[in-house]
Amino acid sequence: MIHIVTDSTADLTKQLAESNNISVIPLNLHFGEEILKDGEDIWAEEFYHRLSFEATLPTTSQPSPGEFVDLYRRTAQKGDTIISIHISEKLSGTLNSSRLAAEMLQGEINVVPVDSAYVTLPLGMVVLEAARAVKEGQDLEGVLSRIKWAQENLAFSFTVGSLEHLYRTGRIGKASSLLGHLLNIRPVLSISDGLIVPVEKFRGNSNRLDRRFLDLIRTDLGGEPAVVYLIHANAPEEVKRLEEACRESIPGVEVVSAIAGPIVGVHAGPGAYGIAALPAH
Amino acid sequence: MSLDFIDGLKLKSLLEIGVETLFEHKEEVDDLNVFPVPDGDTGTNMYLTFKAALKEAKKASDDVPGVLEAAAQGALMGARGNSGVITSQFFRGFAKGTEKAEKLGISEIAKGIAGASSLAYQAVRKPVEGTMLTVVREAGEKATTLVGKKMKLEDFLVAVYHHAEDILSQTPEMLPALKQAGVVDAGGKGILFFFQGVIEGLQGKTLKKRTIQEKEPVIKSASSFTESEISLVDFAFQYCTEFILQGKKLMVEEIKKDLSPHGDSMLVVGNENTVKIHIHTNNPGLILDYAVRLGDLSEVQIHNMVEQSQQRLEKLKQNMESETTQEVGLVAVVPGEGLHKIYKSLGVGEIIEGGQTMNPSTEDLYKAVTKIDAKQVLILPNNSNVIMTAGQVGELTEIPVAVVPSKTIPQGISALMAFNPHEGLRENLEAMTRAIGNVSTGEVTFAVRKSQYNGFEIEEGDIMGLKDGDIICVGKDSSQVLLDLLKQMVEGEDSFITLYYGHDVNESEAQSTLAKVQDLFPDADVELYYGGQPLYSYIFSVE
Repeated sequence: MIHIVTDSTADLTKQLAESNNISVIPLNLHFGEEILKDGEDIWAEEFYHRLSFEATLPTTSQPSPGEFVDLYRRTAQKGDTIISIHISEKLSGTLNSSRLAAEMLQGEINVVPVDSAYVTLPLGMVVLEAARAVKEGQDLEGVLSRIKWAQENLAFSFTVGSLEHLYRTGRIGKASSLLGHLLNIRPVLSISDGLIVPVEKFRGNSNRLDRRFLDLIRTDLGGEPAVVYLIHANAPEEVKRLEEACRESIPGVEVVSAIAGPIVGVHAGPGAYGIAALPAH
Repeated sequence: MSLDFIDGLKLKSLLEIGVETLFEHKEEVDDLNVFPVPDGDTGTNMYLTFKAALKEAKKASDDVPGVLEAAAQGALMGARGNSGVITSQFFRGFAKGTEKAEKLGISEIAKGIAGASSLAYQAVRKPVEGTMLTVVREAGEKATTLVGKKMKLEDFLVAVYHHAEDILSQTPEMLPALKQAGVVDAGGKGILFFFQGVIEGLQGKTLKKRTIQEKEPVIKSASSFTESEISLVDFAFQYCTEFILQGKKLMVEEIKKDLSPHGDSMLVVGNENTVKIHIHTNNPGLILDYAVRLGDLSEVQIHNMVEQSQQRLEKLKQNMESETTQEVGLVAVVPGEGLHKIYKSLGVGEIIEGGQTMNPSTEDLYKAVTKIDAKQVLILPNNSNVIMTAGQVGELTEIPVAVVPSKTIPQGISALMAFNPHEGLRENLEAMTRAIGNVSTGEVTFAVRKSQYNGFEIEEGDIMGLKDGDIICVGKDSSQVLLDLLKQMVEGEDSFITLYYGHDVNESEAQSTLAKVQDLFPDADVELYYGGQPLYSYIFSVE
């Protein structure tokens, strides 16, 4: 039997995770001395509320190998296979913990750690594809190649309220080239090769940016998406507006919205929002 | 006194008189510029180039090859504007043509002028007939035909001069723009004034003494500017306001209800004697005003979160920039204090004050390129008259230099949007050059002289609207011309207009103009920034 495991940075709702039989390991959020489990001790809305008047800015950390071993044993039976799909290893040490746990369980459970090369919404989408493949009855090879397909064909663009969060937490990478603006510039970013990358400096108001996002998705996909996924870190108005723009521009499109959890919220910062899509297959 | 040959010492003095004569007539040359925009520079640019040549020539040893070499070098460094660059090529070509002759007689001078013409033609990508290129080429051809004839040096020069003059008077027939404006080519005229001076010097004219004050263009280091004006982060409520309220019978729930419409991220905790209040609001005064009626305030703190965020970002940026030598650095020619800040915020390392009246010299650009701490450098000339000058810099330094063909400030900004510090010189050059095509530039300025252009009768002082460098409307009022120009440039509803107002426009005028533009184009996205540029009351882009 194949099981799918991921981590809380996939930003899957409890519902989605449960209905797809996906087990989620939480990362840790540190508010000063306090350590909270993402998605268990603290959730998005509360997190953003707290963020606005917390004196010290929070940090994050990965789950330990031990925690992984526990979760794996709770999820699977001896002899089963677990495909453990995680946040890009260039953005977090989570995958490493998964690998160590996999080693420890050799002979007991076949754990296959997979670097999604993504995080948040795109990671969630890859994980959901994997779960679908399992439901369809695919074998290990089949699921892994489905994962690969999703990784290679995913289109994803996002913007942030301020680049200072990514900078502060060290995840900004080449997107640092987007800093700098007396002009009203919005950074447009994506994730490529497991890292956050700059796409362009965008000038114009939010409506124009929405249209630009749609253009980028269309270009990456090579056509109109049937389903569009939206994610935001405490930017519900932005997402609402983007959703309307999607519906206007692509009649009949299905729009799925999600809120970014605390872990992603710490790094991207409040005000971040993005759009992703997969081609039909 | 009649000379048959010119030696080094005489050459120096003739150069000086030639330059002096050009100086005396430089405004006349400026006035010949067909385009009545306030950058009627040919005379000034040529004069400054000649002056630089002369400066070096004077320092050289008293032999002809030495003087010519030095003059060519000086002209190369001091070249300003297209006319300056071509002039510097004339100097180089002349030096080359004389083949290190120790004395200049008819034969040597003829070879020199022919050499000057040949090198100048090679230097210009698309040589146009009816310009100083034609005048000098014809002079060279005439001079060559006279070689071998028995004549005095002075007469030879006069004959060549007269021929050049004839050709100059025919330039309106060769170039329709000249004909339309009813003038001869300014560059050709400038060369002739210089030539005239040389002949007069040979004939015994001497120099008048004078002192000149000239403004050197300023190279401003990006780091001399601070302050940011516009916030990146969209804060709904700007001021983080917190304080402790002490009183009697304070009602926490009541206070929460009263304050909650005035902001967010609200925290009200305490008891009936002491309440701690924290709120993000746009009107801290209102909150404090309310609270002070309920009791005493202490530990009041109000932080401007927009400013704080801005400052953090600035600091981060500075930290990043001071870290290592950049792979690719940026140098730009930018007029106006506001535009300086904008360009600097977009990553330009060195800014040269230049723009319209003061075209920077090759040397000014060269200094900026070497000053920057980068392995390779891109130059944004932002002016068609500076592109050629910038093109010369590459020869002067080992640092790989590429010139982005930006002809206007908005083109430069568009190019900067496409700049990626993680890519190399070539990739950036390609991307930035392509980005220039995405933007249309509008400029509003005044006419420095009476002129006829594009069917317009322009009086001195009239306001002109230019679209991508072409005069397409004329009027009496800047604001109105701006609107007329926009009407002709904005297509479709989806436009993105960015206005930069100049030095001579005050902020309230600019704001009221902004409102008019927004009224005229309700569906367009319009932004207004302080550019501070001289001479152009508005520069704008339409995308």
